[in-house]
Amino acid sequence: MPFIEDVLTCKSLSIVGLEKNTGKTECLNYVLGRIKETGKHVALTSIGIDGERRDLVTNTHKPEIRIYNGMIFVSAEKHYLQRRVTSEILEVSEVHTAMGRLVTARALGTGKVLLSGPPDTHNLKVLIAGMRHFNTDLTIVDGAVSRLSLASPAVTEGMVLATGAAVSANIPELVRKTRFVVDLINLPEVETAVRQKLEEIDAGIYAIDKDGGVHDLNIRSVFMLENEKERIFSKGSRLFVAGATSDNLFSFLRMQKNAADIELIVKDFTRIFATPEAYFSFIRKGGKVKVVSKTRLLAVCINPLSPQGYRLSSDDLGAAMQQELQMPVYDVKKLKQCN
Amino acid sequence: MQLKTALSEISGLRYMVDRLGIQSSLARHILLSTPFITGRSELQVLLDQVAEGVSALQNEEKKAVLQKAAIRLSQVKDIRGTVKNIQQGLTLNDIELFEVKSFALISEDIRELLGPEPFTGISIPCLNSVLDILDPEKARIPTFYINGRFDPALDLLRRELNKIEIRLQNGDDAGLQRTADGLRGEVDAIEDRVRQRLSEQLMPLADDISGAIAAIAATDILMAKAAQAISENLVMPDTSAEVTAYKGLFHPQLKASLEQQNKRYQPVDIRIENGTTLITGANMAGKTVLLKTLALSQTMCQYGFFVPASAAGIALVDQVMFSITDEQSELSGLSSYAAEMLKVNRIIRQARKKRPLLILIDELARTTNPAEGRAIVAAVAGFLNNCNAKAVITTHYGGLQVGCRKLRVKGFVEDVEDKPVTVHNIGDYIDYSLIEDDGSTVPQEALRIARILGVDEEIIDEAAGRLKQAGETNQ
Repeated sequence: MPFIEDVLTCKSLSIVGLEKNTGKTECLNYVLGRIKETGKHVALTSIGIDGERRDLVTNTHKPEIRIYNGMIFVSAEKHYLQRRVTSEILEVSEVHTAMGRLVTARALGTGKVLLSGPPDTHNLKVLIAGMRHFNTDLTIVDGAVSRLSLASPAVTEGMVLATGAAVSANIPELVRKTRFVVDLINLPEVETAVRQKLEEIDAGIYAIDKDGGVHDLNIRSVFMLENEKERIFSKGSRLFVAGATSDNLFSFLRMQKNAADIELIVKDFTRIFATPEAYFSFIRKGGKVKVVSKTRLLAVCINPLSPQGYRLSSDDLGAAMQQELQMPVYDVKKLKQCN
Repeated sequence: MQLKTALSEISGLRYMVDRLGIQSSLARHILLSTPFITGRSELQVLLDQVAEGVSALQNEEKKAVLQKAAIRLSQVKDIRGTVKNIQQGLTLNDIELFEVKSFALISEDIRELLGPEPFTGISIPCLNSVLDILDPEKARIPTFYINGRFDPALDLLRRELNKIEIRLQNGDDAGLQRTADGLRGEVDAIEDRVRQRLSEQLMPLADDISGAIAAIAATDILMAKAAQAISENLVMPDTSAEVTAYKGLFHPQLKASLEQQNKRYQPVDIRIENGTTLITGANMAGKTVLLKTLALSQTMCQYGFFVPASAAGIALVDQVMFSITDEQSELSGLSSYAAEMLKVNRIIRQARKKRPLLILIDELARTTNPAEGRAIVAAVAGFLNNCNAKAVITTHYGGLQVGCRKLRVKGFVEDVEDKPVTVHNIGDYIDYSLIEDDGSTVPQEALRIARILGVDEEIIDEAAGRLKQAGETNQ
């Protein structure tokens, strides 16, 4: 039973797709099906809206999320009412989403649900922590690496990344793109003392001094950096950017005299929206990047089928990916067939 | 006017409301929509409840009960929308049925905790019949789904459906899927019938549920008010008074802020009879704070709070109307004089109707020339003296020929000449208490205070010289 043992060592797990149609839902259904057999108590939620019966963008078939007797799931009101499973409501939270309040329920049989979840990282953390009231062993978050989602899946202990032909139909290109995201997920965490100070900061740009002191630079956005050059590095070369980081930021940092000494700290890997080119040009100059919350990447799942119907060779893709990433890579569809 | 509107108008009111330890957002919503109460008996009921709450909190046994109740109160959700749906005969969905059931469970718990004759004086309607409808197996667990107790056919159908769903796990099968969809349709139809039936059964109980919501919120509010009355040293006002009179009146927010800076706060005694009371006093003598405190206390009283004083008799009014300096008039595009006069005119218009009002005007006509300013103050004070209102007007103008009450803030303590008075400790040398005065002269301490504030010596000396000259000329 590949990687399920690793999953069971975590209290929380996110399953994220590199892009739409990379087989994330299949991967989630596989994990849920396997965990059911272990008798562990699982809670399930999502960030953003997912589990739609048809993919709204490409109108391709998307498997729904299948849940089993006893599993706890969290979904917004509108999606809860569309469930196709018998379930009892345990709690209705006061957290509002575009789809209504969040409903926590327990499945009383096997069936399918549409998942949606907390609108931001703070509420996602609260939700994961609150699941212990329902005696769960593991909370699984159906996540997305998406700019549209304000909640970050990186707050979970472990992560499974789904990638596939939907990202690129060219194997080396697909491997390269996946490698970039895997590198970001594996970015090192800042030291605990600084991390604790940065965890609750959600906006702004800060200088970190030699002793780990945090100084608000009062710069509203990374677009204003150009005009504030002399202030930015007045406390040293460590910089914390709480929001999104773009190509502009990395190009700007690369061009500074002290580029080799700069250490950029971001909330988590999902806040890096730069292209590999901009990112690596900074790294090549000797720059370093660290994160405040780091998650453990447990496995990479591949989906060789693209939404346009193009099919890559599962074996070739798997081999190339494993060679490059040096970590377990699985084709979930094939795992299913083996069983 | 609702409390939420008053919050932005009455200085120090938001501070009090924000610091109330209200448990549920339902109670907070209801509190914020409380009307300004002008009926004495209606207000007395509220104040008596707070008094009961205060004595309960001072009794160890009852306090323990209230603390338990507070935990349940914090779990209350606002289900007023759902109750409206019941009243309109709509069919509730599972989430709404869950809400009604969990509310009824909490409400019943609180009702039992407080006993058959709750010392709060607020009786909570019994919702057992609601629970009998939504919890037929009497498990009294806060979860909900349409189970077999509501319709025995459900259990069998669901078992069948589940068997098929389990088979479907292992791969798609169009035939099986069709059977599953058919069964799911049957289950859905039964569930819909049950929801409709439950909603119909709840309809005659909607008023009880509404009553329980109101009573639960009222209990929450009164406990918060009582706890605050104790922590902030508030007192129950006597609302039967004809004359408003305070002993030890204070402004809680200002007091807290001064105490934080280790500074002294001096409460004051004041009587306000019908008609006009003119108050004079040096700058920094606390006249503006006094008016704000009067507005705050009157408002708190008429929203059913205890008031910040050691003793208080409060004559109820229809409305508190005021013109107090630090309001922003720049935005309206009017000069400060024009804005003030329009505001005073609105006050006059209401006073002319002989309505009982509390009118508070800070330094009337201060921004125009003293000759005309003095005349305006005399005219307004004279007019308001003969209305059914209690008007308090502060002024720096002396020698006003108006037949109304006049008070003066004592001001500077006399024997401070040799002590180093600075802008930081000046408060320690001011006596904020009020004394009856004939109003013939006004305290002239503007230059002294300017000197303490460290204003340019040359200017002060020049002004002092001119003042002396003018005095000699007059004589």
